[in-house]
Amino acid sequence: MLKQVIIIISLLILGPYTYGQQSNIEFSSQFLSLMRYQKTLFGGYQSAVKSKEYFLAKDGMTNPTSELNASIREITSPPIKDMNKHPKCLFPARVKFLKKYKKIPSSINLKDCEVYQAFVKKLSVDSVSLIFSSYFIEKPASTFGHTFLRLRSKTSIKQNNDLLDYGVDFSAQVDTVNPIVYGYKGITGGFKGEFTLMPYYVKVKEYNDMESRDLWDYELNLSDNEVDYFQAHLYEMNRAYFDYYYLSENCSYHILAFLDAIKPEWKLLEELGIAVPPVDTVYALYKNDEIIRNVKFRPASYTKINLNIKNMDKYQSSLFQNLINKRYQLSEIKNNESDIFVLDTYNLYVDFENAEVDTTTTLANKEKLEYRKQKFQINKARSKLTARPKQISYQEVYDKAPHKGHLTGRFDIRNNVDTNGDYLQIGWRGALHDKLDTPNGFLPMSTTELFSLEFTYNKYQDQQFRLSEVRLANIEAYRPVRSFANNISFQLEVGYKEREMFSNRNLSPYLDLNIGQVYGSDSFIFGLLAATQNAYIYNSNLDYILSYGPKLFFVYSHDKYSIHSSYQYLFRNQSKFNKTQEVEFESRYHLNKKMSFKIGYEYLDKFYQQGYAGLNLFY
Amino acid sequence: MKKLLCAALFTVLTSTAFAAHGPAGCGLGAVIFEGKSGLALNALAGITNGIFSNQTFAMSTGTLKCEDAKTARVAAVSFVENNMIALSSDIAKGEGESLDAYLALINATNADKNILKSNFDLIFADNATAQMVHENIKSVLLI
Repeated sequence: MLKQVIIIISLLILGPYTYGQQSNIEFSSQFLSLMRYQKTLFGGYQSAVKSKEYFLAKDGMTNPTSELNASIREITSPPIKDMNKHPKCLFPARVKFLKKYKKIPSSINLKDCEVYQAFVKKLSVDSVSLIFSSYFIEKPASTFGHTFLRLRSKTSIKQNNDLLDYGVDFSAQVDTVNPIVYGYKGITGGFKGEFTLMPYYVKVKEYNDMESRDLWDYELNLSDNEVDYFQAHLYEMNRAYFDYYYLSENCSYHILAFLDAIKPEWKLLEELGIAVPPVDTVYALYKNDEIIRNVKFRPASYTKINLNIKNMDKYQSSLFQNLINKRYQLSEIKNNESDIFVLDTYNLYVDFENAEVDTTTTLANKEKLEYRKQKFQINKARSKLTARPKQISYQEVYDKAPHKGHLTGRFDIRNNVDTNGDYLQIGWRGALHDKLDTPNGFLPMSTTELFSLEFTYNKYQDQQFRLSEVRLANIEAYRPVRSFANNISFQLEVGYKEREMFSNRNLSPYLDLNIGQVYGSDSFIFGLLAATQNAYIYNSNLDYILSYGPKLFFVYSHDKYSIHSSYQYLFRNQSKFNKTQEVEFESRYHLNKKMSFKIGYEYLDKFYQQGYAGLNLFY
Repeated sequence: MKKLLCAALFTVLTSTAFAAHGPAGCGLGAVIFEGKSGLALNALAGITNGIFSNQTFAMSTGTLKCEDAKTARVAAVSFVENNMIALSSDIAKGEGESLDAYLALINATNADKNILKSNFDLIFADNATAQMVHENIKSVLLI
């Protein structure tokens, strides 16, 4: 009996205390994500938020417990004259969080936070989508994709019109025009990163129209309560800034970190590696079936023109060509389905051609005036026509959605047999895609690879296992010449590697640049390039080697298999091998999104040949 | 040669960096340089934003091209300013997303789009400003 009384008494005394201790909500994933705490190497915490205004405790940036206590204290503090500046109104998501865990009285609410209420009313978010702005090889800026958020507003549901919504972007506040400083700061976290909010039409214009990138809309499965919490947290983000790391803590990382704060159980950040290509955020959303509610897509101007042209018959193609070449007058367009389809495509083409003309400056801008004049003429003619053009289905583009692509990291292992014997080669690629990988979800005929390593194991050599190549970047943009675009194709590769024709085993820097034209389609191309190879060979009698010459090649790319073959004739600034020939061949069989087999052959004039067979594993 | 390689590497890395950096967003910089892309302009826009430091959520202040698209009349004019070309294409066709958005902004979702189509010449004079186009549309629709 006495024992029971003691237990009851101690429970009464210690109960609330132990209850508080056990809950430890400052270490709950929800609070940690809300405050962007990351575990440090020494077991402590450090928030990714770099602005002091985001914290209510002095040591809040590194101490979740003291931040939680300060939040409870400050949020429950007496009202002030301008309630908009009261901690309660500055941190509405924290209020919601503390209320959920009963850490503050339920009577505390956000009704007297005028600015916040106006913000909520204005946004009146109904649903949130993650937008993946796809690749467009025409511009280096677009080669890696981009992610941001779209807020579907309750008031625009009825209209179902994207242009009336809002976009939320995470971007760096760039403070330099020097490209070298830009690159350095971008990689080392020298820029401030912030969330910005803008009308969605600004984003549509920027990506869809000006940069011609398809926008993929992944609507997130959030409840009404979670959407409210989202708006509250977005408001708080007005007081936060971060260090911007181009390769790791970039737009994609912060967008997912934001979503983790709203829905911690999704644990989206867990899906990301150290370097984050934006498409990885899309893959993260597919870790289970419950995250995505709906997928939509907005084709870019280039996508539309391309598909329209594919759907034209002979008469329409020639009419289109005549319009482009101004051999045909707008007034000669007939009022029928077929002609109007061509005129509408031509209209898109004129927009595409003028994508970079600044149409928002004053009328004094000459380019803008010319573009406007041309457009008004076309549209004037168009307004006189009443027949309806045929509708084009975008299903074939939809079928190749970004989330259907392969994973972007890659290991490969291959057995090589060359002039000197056989050896094993193991490779690793940081990101992203090369032209022979399975094409779904990526740009056809393109390579965007950053940071690859090759290791060699050769039992016949002194250093049996060694690093034999570091490829820093490899970009290939093969853009077949189109009736409406006379594209230049190029390849650029930079790195360090061993050279077969020199006995030393040092890694020597090189830079290869090929420029030319290719012909064909999304699945087959052949081309002619002017190819140069620049290499600096350590400890050789001729340290700088320049090779140059014409290169012929073809690529076939299919969901199941792909083939590449090239022939190059090379001139060199070197007496011994001043004229050589190179032949390359590789074929891959794609077993699934995670694995492909490959065989290949390389021939370097008479003195070096190698063949190989191996496996690519995507992770 | 090493310098050349370094420079080339930086060129590659910096050009790829745009992808993640995105636009300068709303704010004063965005107004001055809006509509251009590419390194210099994006960076310049960023700098301007940095100096005036009114970037984040400039929209909520109702100024600087980021005004709330759904309230004031200014917003409708601003929408026309930003979407003049697309709007002219839509009116010429008698349908389209830009036209629907604009009609929603001026609370005229039920307007007869064919009347706008047949009055294209009246609405879009060569030197028309956004304000004029906005007024022209309203007078054609008798609102």
